[in-house]
Amino acid sequence: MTGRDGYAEFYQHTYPRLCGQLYAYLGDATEAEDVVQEAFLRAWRDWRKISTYDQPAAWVHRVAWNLATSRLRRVVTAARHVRRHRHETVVPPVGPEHVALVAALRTLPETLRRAIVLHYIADRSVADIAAEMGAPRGTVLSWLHRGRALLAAHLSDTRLEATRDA
Amino acid sequence: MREVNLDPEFDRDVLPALSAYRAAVREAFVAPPLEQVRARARHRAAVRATALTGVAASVVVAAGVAVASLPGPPPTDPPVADHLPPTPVSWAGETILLPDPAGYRSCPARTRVTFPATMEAVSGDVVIGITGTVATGDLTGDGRPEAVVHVYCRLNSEFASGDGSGHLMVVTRDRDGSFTGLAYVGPEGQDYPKVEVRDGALVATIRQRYGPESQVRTYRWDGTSFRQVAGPTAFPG
Repeated sequence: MTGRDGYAEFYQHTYPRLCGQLYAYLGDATEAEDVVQEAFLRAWRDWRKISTYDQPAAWVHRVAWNLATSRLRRVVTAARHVRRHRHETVVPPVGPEHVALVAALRTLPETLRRAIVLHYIADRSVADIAAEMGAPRGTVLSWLHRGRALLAAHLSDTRLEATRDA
Repeated sequence: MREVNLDPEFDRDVLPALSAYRAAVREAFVAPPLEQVRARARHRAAVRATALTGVAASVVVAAGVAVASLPGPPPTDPPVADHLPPTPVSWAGETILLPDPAGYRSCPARTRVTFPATMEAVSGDVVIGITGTVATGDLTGDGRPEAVVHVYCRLNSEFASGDGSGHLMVVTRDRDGSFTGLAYVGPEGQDYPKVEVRDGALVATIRQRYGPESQVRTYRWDGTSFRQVAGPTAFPG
């Protein structure tokens, strides 16, 4: 027993899904990976305790999202600024249609985007999201509805532009 | 368990796009070797420690006002004020974007206010005052300290005593040097003789302003607000 039993498998399995969620939420693949890696490092440090939890993935999920929501207010632009200085080009590891979706998500107000990503990408129930975001269930439903409507309008505009350009 | 579509017309394009994304990202992101992640974390910690030393060395104290001077032209890493000035700090001349008031109805929402030397800023018919910085420490878990400030909001009227006002506000410093209020914390209208940041949580001793009780309550940042995680939630009777 090394104290880190099961960590590698847990990390390999959980990392991609969490990065996908936070890329959709933050709109920046590198920033998403930074946040997720930080969460996994914390899990690594406390793995002896966290591995005894019913759902270690829920713990990492919560830490990563907390980092992302606090980061969103302050460092997303800074990270981009730094990369520009280093002349790095960050290519998201997904296809153009998914990049377009993430771009559309970025046009949503933060609360709607978070609800949409948690529900439709992280597969969280409305009740879970209501508890996590401290809002009544009906409010979450209305966020999801408004978020979908805004996304639909944005995606439709993008498609029209693409048709015109063609 | 996803909800039933509320509006199929809106969802014709959106839900398939979200589903396709959800399926695709499982293959798209690949976990890097753990040792590589740990090495990067060590590097980041070293860079952060160097930056901290630089900021600490550039603190200028003038006329009782501590100001973190910003380093010169940007080097390769974030050059700007990554950390709050150490306490005690004067908020005179500083601008803070106030947080959503949530339950603190007397405070204006998402308003940017600049505090004069009197520490009382006016927004509409409300006066927002700062009594002082009562604690600093990392409350959001991102490795950077926040400031816990005692504030009050009262009507801008000679008849408004402000007796029922006063609570805490957690302020974070953005990398562009500006200050943002993350959230208000604690009950209004009570006294806060001792506030600490302990193990990433805000631990406040709260004393009744007009009563005998003193309580210790602990609050923790959950990404959107500070939730109380320990201690009594109300004063008796």
